Order: sequence, then C-alpha cells, then structure tokens
Amino acid sequence: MRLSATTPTTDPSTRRPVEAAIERHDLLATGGSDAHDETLGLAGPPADTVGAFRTRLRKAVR
Amino acid sequence: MEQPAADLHIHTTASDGTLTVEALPAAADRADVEVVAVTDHDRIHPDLSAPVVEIDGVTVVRGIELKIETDSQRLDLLGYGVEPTDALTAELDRLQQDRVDRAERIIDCVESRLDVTLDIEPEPGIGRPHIARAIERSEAPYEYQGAFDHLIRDGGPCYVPRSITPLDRGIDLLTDACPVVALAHPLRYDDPVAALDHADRLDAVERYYPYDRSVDQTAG
Repeated sequence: MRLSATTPTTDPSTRRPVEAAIERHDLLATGGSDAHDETLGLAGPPADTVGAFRTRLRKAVR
Repeated sequence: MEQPAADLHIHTTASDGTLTVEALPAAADRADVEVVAVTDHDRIHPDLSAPVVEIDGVTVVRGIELKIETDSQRLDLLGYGVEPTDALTAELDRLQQDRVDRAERIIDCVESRLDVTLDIEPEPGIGRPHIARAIERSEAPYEYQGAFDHLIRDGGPCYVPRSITPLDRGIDLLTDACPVVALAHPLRYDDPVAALDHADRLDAVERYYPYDRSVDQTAG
C-alpha cells in the first residue's frame, strides 16, 4: 500500500495496518503532536495508555 | 478523539523547535497533558538530567527522535526514557557534527548564490528549518517556504544530504538505551506497511498523531 499526500489518514481502512501491528506484536500505542512550537497536546495517548507507558518506564529506570 | 493525557513527541530549541524546557510546564498545562516527552532530532536534551524528571508538576520524559534508513525508505524512531550508552553518545556526536558540517555547506551555497549574508552560526541541533528562517530574515527574496522550494529542498540547488543511521544500527542503539522505542507516525511514510514490518522489533507504535495538520516535514 502506498499513500499519497492526500490519502485521508482518518479513514479506518488506512489506519487498519497500524492497529493490526499494535495488536499482533502487543505494542504500546503511543503518540504525540510532533510540536515544533509551543502548542502541545494536538494528539497523544489517552490516560489508560499513558499508565502502561509510565509503568514500562518506571520498571526500567528503577 | 479522546482527550490526550500525554504528548510524547515534541521538539524544543535543542533541535528545530521553539519551545524551551523552562516554558514546557506552562505549555503542558495549557494543553491539559500530564506527561510530555522531549524528542529532539538526533539529540538528547542537554538540560534534562534523568530519563524521567518532574518539572513544576509535569512528568517530562527524556527522549529522542532518530532517523534511520532502510533499503527502501527513511523512518523515524522515538526512544523514551533514554539513558545514553557510550555507543549512542558516539553516534549522536557524529550525527551532530555531520549536521554542522552540512549546514556550513548549505549556508555557503546560499550566500554565494544570492550574494547575501545569513545571520546564522551552525551549532549542534541545526537543521534546514534554521537555515530557512535565516534566509527569510536576510536580504534574499525568499520567505521560509520559498527558501525550501527554491534553494534547500531535497534535490534543490543548495541541498546537501546528511548522514542517516542504518536501520539495524539505529534499532540496536535505541533499544540498548531506551526502555521504550516506538515507530513514529507510520502513515507518513511512502510505504506504511513496509515501515510497520519493523514494528515487531520495537515496543510501541505512534498511533496518535495529527496527520491532518501540516507539520514540519523538513526537519532534516
């Protein structure tokens, strides 16, 4: 599959490979805004996912 | 979309962003996020003293965004909670020196081509956006986007490629130094499915990303 710049990335069929990879390999679903300015939070994981992310970091840095 | 509780991909003045660590807590408060990961290009923010720190009530994760090269395309990896190994430090030093050398060549080209002087000093973290901003500030007849389009875009008359870490090397360097390594923005690549084929070697995929927003795609 190749996506052009105009491919709607909100289309469920476009996003399906992402969801499938996360499920198949039991991965964390992370995310962020890729902010280059001072506006944060345009995208990011919800609270339950952040909990799993924090746990993974805490185990590692303890 | 559900309200984000974290923003795990941001750039600061340590690379090509405009946010400082000092201004980060207020920016996080405005966005109502409790966790922020600082992921500058090819660079670990020098002012973050540990893999995870609390600053004014905001959890700040020290991270990095590293571009890597596969046989068919370039991908971006995000490393979180980074505690740099000697090998990673050496590779990042090499990449930053390459950025400085490359910026000097681009600046020389622009200055001689347009007979202008750019008010910019190449230093670690520099990328083409910095040079485009300097062109906009100069006597040259280009604003930011025009500088890219006419001068420094990939293949442009003053474009100079930079060194990119190979795929296997990049994954090894980050997985040795970071408890969580993610594939960034999978739907931004020419071939997302091929990009996702590498996900089994990683810990995470950047599922939440503002694809509908025009982001800076020119960070290299």
